[in-house]
Amino acid sequence: MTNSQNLAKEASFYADHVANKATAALRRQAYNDGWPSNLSRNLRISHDGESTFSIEYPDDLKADILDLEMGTTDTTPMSTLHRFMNRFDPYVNNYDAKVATLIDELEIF
Amino acid sequence: MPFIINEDKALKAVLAGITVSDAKNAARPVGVWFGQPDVEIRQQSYPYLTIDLIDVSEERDRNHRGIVELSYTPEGKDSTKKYKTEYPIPVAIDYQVTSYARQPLHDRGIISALLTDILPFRYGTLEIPEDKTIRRLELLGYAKRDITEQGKRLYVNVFTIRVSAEILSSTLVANSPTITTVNETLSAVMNQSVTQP
Repeated sequence: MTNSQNLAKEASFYADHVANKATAALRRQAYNDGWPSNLSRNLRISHDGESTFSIEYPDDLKADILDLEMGTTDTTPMSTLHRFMNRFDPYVNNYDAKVATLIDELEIF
Repeated sequence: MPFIINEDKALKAVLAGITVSDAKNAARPVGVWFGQPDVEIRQQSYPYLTIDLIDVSEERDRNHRGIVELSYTPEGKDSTKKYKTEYPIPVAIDYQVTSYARQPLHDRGIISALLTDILPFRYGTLEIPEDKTIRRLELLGYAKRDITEQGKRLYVNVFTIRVSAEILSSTLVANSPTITTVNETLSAVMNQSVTQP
């Protein structure tokens, strides 16, 4: 395996790790904000194998999740997902720092 | 007025001028409320907009450290003076603006008015009269969320926006001749010290 392939593999592995940590934090925040557990435990942070992370949830829960996130005619918006993504920088910085270290270690310039 | 309240007030003021037209009224005003108004009020006054404050976060990419002379006069201060302070903390104030309409024509009119003049995709601004600043107003997202409520169609649009702001240090020092004199004296001493005998 070339160094570039090693880097891609290691980076993807670490992105999984970051996504898992962020998923746990997002579910905790949603639950603390009062989301029903059937919705909060179905939230997930995914990544595209590089440094793009995004929130995912099952399609059949989309309407309920957006009702909580954006509010309805009778309820105010909770904006849990919006507030979580506003504070996502530390996770991306963590990932970027790891990739920078890997590039140094594998001597890919 | 303090931080956030000025922004709330300015946002409500720019949203308050929208009118939509229909067969009965060529210029029907669109009401604006903060948060969720009472059900009775809403039922009497479709179409309308609501404003919800959804987040306040530090904008780290605009962060600086040190002392700066403010380019504007903070509210309540003497506008003839310049003020020095620590760099203000840059923050982003996020709002959700939601529109509700019973008629598709009203719905389209609101979308058009908001995206054309008030919450454009690019180069949006919000003027804050209290400190005479013009803030960035960014449209972060738009979602169409029409529903059917009690057998009636309700046209709903959600606009997520961001207004730039700053939290000023509580210590503001007006530039005074004394400071200039001290600086000039210091610089004179420093110049002397490097002069060859």
